[in-house]
Amino acid sequence: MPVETAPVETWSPRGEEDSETERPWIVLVWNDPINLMSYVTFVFQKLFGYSRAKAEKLMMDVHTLGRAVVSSGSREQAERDVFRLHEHGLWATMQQDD
Amino acid sequence: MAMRFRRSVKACGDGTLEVRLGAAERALLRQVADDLAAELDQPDDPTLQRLFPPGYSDDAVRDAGYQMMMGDELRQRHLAALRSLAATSGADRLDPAQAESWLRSINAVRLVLGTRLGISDDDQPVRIRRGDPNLGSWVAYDFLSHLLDDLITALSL
Repeated sequence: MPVETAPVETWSPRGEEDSETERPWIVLVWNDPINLMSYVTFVFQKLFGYSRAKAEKLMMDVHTLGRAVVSSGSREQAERDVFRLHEHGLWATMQQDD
Repeated sequence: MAMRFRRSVKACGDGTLEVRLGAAERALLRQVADDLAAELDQPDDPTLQRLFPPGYSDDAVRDAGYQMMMGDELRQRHLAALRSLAATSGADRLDPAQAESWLRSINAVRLVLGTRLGISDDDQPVRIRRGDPNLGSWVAYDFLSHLLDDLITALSL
């Protein structure tokens, strides 16, 4: 059981950490030559609840532009989305939004 | 263009799927699932890396953490789907959980086969030629691609 202690002042590199935590994380899906277009569209609908039109637009962005941002949020949310995309065989990565 | 006169998978309206495949096709499904599951138990082939992409593209340290934290769980998920496909390869009906396993595991097998066949272009045609040492892999890849497309059509939202 934790013993109550007085709050301790801890050092933290302020400015940098604040901007680190505030900037959202984005999840990118990259084009690959094997995943079927119909499969990619289906996975976007299933994992993110997107309409067919939105999922097809994102799939076409991946196909023609090489990548698309498919979701954004906290680091934890982004990691969960990346994992679910990997589970479905999509080539997904995450990074902090610029 | 190849004409296809029937689809292998049909939605039954109650959330289940009806599967119409021949014995040879079912045997092939079982074999590719068993083979890949056995390989994932000792993943030392670099082509299997396609199933374990980096989570962070621009941060090697964070990616190492992601791989340590999630890598084994991802392997377990791939394995579970492949084992479900092997176990239900003879089934005429699939419940939604089984259908999801078929979808993910058939796609996983395609990713590994396609990588090994050197597929590197979006519009690369499937090459089925007599005497090709990879003929078996091309036939399996083509069959799995059509079956996956049939599954998606049957499940489509």
